Amino acid sequence: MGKNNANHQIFHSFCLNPNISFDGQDADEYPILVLRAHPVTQLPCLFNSFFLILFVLFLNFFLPKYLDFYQVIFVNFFGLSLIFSYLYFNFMNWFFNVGIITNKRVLDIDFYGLIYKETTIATLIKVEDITVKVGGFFSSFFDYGNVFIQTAGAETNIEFINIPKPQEVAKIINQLLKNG
Amino acid sequence: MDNLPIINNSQIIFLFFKLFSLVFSFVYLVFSVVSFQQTKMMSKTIRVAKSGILIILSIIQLLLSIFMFFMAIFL
Repeated sequence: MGKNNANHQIFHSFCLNPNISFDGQDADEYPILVLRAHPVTQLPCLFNSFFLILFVLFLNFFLPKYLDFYQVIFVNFFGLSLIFSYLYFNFMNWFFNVGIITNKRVLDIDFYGLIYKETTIATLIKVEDITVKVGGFFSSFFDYGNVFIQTAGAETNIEFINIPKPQEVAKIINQLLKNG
Repeated sequence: MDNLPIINNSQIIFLFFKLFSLVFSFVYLVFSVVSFQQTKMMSKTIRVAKSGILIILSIIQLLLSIFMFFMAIFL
């Protein structure tokens, strides 16, 4: 697995040999696989936004009875801004909650809300056991699931939640362990 | 009692609207500032080729919130 020939699949949720770097990366370290949640898991957010837009539009039938023109404009503008922020916030959560597998380590970077960041790192040597869990209609249909990586000793275990092609991820990690 | 100014329904609605628009737009402004800072921090943690687009989106959000706040003040 070389550094070049980047291969991004399923809307950048399964990136082989991606051209990214991260905080604390060693000089001789390069990412082999970058994982994000499967895009299908983001559909509820899109549906919510769609219905919220409909709701804002629906309000326009009633608001002019109680508010003047500029107030109605403000309500519309404010509603649409909030929906934009909701979409943006969810996109950021999806985009930056990544699992990274490098030639040396496995990293799980999570951002919760706006102010909390959690990074879990395990060296490949410490990886003991890999469990793949796929359950439910959508998971099976769209081929996504959870990968749990158990590490030796008291180190924190790593979880990749709702990632695409979990079996292939486990296969890649196993391959790295064998080569390592 | 007769000397008290009479506040009619439209004035009550206006007062409520003014109060709520100011409060919510201020909360939105704070959220946007925090969101902008967080985006910058996230972009430093994971450096991707097109992270500039995300920063631009967060700036758009920040500008929107500033506009909303001023709109709420002068409404």
